[in-house]
Amino acid sequence: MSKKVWVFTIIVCIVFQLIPVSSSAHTTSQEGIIKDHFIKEYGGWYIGGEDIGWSIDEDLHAGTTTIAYQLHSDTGATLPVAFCLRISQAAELWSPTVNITTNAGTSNTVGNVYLYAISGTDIVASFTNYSANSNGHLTSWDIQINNFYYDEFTSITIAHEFGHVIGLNDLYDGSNINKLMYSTEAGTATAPTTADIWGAKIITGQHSVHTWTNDPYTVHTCTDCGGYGTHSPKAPYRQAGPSYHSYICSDCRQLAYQAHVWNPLTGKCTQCNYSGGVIIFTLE
Amino acid sequence: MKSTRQEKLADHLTELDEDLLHNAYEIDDAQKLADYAKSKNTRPQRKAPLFRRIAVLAACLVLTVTAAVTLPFAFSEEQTPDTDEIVLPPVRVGTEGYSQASLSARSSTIESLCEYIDVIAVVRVGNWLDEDTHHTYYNAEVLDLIAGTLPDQFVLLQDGNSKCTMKGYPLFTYGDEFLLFLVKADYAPEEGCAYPNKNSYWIAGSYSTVMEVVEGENGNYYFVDRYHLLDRSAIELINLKTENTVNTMVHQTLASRDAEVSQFKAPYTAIYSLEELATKLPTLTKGG
Repeated sequence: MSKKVWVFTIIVCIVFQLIPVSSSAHTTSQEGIIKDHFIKEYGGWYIGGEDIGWSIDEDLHAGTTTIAYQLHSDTGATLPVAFCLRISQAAELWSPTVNITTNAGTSNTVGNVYLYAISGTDIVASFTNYSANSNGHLTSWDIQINNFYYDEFTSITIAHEFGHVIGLNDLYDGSNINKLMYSTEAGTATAPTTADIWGAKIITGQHSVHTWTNDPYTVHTCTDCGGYGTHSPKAPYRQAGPSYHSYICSDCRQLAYQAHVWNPLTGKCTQCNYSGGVIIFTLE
Repeated sequence: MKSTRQEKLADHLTELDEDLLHNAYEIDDAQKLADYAKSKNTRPQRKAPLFRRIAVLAACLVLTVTAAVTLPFAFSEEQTPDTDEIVLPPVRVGTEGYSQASLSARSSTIESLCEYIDVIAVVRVGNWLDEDTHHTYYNAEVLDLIAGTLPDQFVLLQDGNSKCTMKGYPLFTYGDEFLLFLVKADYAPEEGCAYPNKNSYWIAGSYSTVMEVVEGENGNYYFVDRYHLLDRSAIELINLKTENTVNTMVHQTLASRDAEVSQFKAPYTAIYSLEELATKLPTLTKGG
């Protein structure tokens, strides 16, 4: 083998070593499922999100449909009965999607629910102090409930925190104020909503195959702000970049995007009837 | 010879400051020094004062140079901080991970915020000061007081510390500028921590109400509402996100200022005019 070939081989090996390899917690992750068939749109694979009503954390979740917890007080004082009752009610709200119980030694996912007191914050409760294995599965976690807001927190607050343990992210958009995973106590949900449950099913592996159907939208990327928009007349985007045809899972509402399928006779996309070109949307 | 030596000595001494001379030597001491010089064939009476003269001149030179360097900054409106004195947070993101939090409903709109906050102000974060089990403390200065009263310099609290920060809410760093809704901290410090003190304020609504502030080329100030506080509030402001010039300027400025903060949830940002907010703020019912 010539010297040039050896040098070329070594360079190729080095280059391949330097290329970052995308890894996921699961081979059946949502990223993997979507990536098999659809285009990577701006910002990476969009797994759930504000537009869909649920958002999952594939790098930090229970990884099981059975979750166990223990109750604690940071002062060691006996916990109020009403407090314990709210926790158990919160756990029951996730049934039957996820079974959450006090620790009975039946699960290897054990977390702690603490009642603590801290001033100088508007944090009512938090999901914190976690650790996870290489699959992103939680091996320990805490839910801390701020005694300062004892009168404000409810079983819904705790159900929201259990949602984090399951693997759901907070939602902030005002359109999601009716979801359990809305980030403030102003949320109106009284239990996990359909969207919350779909997110939980996906992250716990109970919904791993999407049923893609055509979504009557073309998604346009924007070269000005880097965002994207749809044909909604209220879409506050100036469209200038390439566009994609949109698909939606008829069950969980996950969106995905694919190149248009052009009909050479009509010049339109066979899926969404879009005829191409640059569209400039304006606010109403 | 003796007389000649004394005359030479006198000639030398007249070249020096007479006060210094009298403070240093008595006349008899001068005679003794002259005799000592003769015996050692040296001229100590000249050497010591010359050394002092050089030292004084050197000291004056140092003082002059120091004054020339520092005085312009001391009298300028914008003081340039001594880089040696800047104290950055030990980390930006918690070393042991992050937390996700549910926030009190009272922080969900501007109207409800104004029922319990003390101050609305644009502030610049200064030095990192300390941390306790739940908070980090910084020096901060007021850039623009919109409502309420606040000392020019105060201690700012942030939820989170070097071990655990909130998801998407890294620790502040020197020079960050925010529009903040503040409440006076009135609780006792933890053992081993000097804060909060009487000039300490915590951020109502935690991460959800922290608005990054950017000054435009036209002198107008803009703030970024990442968590839709304005969407949930009754106050109606014009979202400037669709104005390409403003949008681009704000994103570029934020990215250059603090990439750690600016990357978070950028697709969801809304941009408003600070001037417009100030004209439409509801009256503070507490503290204002």
